[in-house]
Amino acid sequence: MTDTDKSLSDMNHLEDLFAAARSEPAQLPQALQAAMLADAQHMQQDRVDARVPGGCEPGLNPQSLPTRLWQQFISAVGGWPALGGLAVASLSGLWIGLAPPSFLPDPVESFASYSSGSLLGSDLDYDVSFLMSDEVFE
Amino acid sequence: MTGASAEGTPSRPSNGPSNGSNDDALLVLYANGDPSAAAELMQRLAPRALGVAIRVLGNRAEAEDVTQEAMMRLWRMAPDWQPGKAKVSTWLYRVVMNLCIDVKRRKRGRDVDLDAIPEPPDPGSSAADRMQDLARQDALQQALMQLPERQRQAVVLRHLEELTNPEISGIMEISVEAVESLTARGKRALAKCLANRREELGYSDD
Repeated sequence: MTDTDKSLSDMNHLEDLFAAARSEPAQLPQALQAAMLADAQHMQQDRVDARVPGGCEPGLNPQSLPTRLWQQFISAVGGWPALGGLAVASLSGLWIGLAPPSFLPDPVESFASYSSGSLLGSDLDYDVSFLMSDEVFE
Repeated sequence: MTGASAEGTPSRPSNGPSNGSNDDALLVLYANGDPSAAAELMQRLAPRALGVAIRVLGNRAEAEDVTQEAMMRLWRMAPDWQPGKAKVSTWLYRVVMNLCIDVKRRKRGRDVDLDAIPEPPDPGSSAADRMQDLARQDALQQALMQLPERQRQAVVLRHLEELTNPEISGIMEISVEAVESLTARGKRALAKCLANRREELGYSDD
């Protein structure tokens, strides 16, 4: 057998080996199949959760726009604890404004006195008395 | 069947030989939340990914890890897939090859795992024939592992996966001429390597 013949024969043997290898495709082990399917399902679920704010379960109606905006507001101010603090601070400010401590001027009282006393009591009286005076009718 | 329904949602491909457009449609179904599309995609693509990884790595456990990671990347990229632009299988082969290169870089110098190659279950052959088949497949795997990395990849894709040179070119991101060169040199090197074991593998010189 010449070298060329041997080389051809080796190539033929190699082709036979390739054919034998192709005839036996790799089998997926059950554990690997289960792991790949679990990966696929997790990835799919993650995407569903990402699409719906708050992780709504698939099949439920999506939340309405006002509800989502309100949730975004709560989230922006720091969640429910921060919202509670904001409410307490607002009510305290309102109460201090209506009933201030003794060392602070009372804005309600000063507003009332300004309205009835300074405005109606002096200027308006003067104007009315002036209008009612005899000189006007003459 | 790969067309889209009236609502623009791809319909489920019929059973049949795996082809690029069926894989496309299944991938879009999966991305849209179809719970059974993943299993079909896995049955179509994962055995080929595993087979290539086993041949390139010579180690079944590592090949299984590579296959799982490659499929994970497939699930992850599904929403961004643009049907018709490329074949899903080509994309997956490329990911498998790159992961195999990463694995080989991490474990330079380790031996070939001969258990990686499954024994051909041929009930018609005798025990002696089965032993010889197994010895030949082991010899092929050992010879493959002697090849440089890129030659081995090209030979596996060309002669074991029977992909075309342009497909291999797309997977390996090299020219078709480079693919031809790699496969030719790889095949010659394999034949030379196996020639030294001609008698041992039961090949006569007549």
